[in-house]
Amino acid sequence: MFAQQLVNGLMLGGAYALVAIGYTLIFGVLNLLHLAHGEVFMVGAYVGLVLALAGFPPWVTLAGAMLAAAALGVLIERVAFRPVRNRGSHVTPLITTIAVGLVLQHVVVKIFGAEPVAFPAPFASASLELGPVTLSTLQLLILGTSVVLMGLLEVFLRSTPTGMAIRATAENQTVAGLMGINVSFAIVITFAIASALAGAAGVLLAWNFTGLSPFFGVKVGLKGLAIMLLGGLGNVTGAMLGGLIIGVVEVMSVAYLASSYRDAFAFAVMILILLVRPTGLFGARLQTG
Amino acid sequence: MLEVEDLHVSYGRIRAVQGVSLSVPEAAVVALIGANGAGKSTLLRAISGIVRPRRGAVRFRGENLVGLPVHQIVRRRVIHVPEGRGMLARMTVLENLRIGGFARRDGPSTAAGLERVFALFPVLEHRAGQLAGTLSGGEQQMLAIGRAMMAGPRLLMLDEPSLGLAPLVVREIFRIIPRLTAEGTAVLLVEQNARMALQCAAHAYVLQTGQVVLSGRGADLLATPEIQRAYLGTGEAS
Repeated sequence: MFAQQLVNGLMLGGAYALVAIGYTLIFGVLNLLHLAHGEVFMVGAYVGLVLALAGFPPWVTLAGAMLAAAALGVLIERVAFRPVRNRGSHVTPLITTIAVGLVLQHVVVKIFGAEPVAFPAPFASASLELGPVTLSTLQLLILGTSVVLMGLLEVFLRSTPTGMAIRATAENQTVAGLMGINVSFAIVITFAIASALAGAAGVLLAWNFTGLSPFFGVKVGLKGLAIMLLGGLGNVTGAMLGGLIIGVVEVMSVAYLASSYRDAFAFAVMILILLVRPTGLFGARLQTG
Repeated sequence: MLEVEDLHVSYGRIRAVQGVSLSVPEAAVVALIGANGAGKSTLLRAISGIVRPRRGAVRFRGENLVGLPVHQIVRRRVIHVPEGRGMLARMTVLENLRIGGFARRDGPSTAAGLERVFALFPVLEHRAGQLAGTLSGGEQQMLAIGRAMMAGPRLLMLDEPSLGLAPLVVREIFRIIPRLTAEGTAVLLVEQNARMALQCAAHAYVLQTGQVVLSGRGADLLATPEIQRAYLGTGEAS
């Protein structure tokens, strides 16, 4: 029972981590919060829905959602961040991104309606017995996808020139510029990657919950934001582990306590950890180690 | 090679640089000395594009750099080692050096560049895997210069390389400068340590409240009484 719940929690947590990583990457390079990130996640899931209903295979659903989310993220950087960067206060982008988030919600409501819709299963799932744990092939796909994406991100940030440019930009924009790095371009790439991960998480969680609604992004976005704080602002590894912890806590509280309080337990654990470690599990700033 | 013409830079209402003109010839060392707040660092920041001048021109090999983004100026191999060394403290020594080479995608391989830097500063090779933030001040300055060398600079601008370092370390850093010029790099050196700077500079400018008040050959300025009094602290004693 416990092992089973642990696996279920890791599956949920992996998708949460993907959302939180997006927040933390963007906060890392800009020191600004992107409050429409939850809506990028939601739009990614709806693009996945359209592709899935059109009969495309699961990997196309996933890749399409990631591409669409990436494009949306780059657009948001253009309209909601760049015009107010280096001008006005840190509060300005909070307001502009809240506005973008509302617009996205209402556009989706206009197209798909405000009611929750069913998300088709990607394939007829089979069950695998692994000792005490029963794993469906769908669960395996969800968990595997988030693990692979996080691994790829880690390698990208650590050892590619573009990844290094993003880390340098996150550490000090002036110095990054003096190294010949095009800082504006590094910021755009960061938005694209962060948003693509959110789009992937959208499809993964829609598969998991077998449905979605235009307000799907609000709760998950809030959770992702809190997980970023839990892991340490701008800390990618912290967001990964924070996501897994919250996923497990949530599933455990449903299994052993009361299912209607799942979010309350998740946020309570977060508050407790932050009381003990105010800078988060791993301390602040964009780093991979 | 570098011609600064009537440059004016303001921060809000503060006029940090007011009509400075200077030139740096090919493969020469030019020093810029002056008290704190004289506008030396601001001048370098305007040349490398970090701040935008209000008026004036910065011509490098005939091209006006004013208005170009910082990374474009760096790609022309005008390399600025900022005051405080500009460490990427949460990245390793090796990563800092590799990033230094980003400016130069066409030139010799990164491996050749690394070999050259490690030959000049062997300590960096020993510390390659360490985070730059854990280095001592002298090692950080070596890393800052080594990282700049990775870009293959045509013009290297050093802002206070001796700041906060022990005399022995300062000498080690300064011994690099003739090697750079021997390879054709011009050096624009900002220093508070006026003696050190004037000794190695072919030409020097003295900046006061944003204006050039004196200029001449380094050796001549060293012998000027008012320079000795104001910047070398030896006037009265001798």
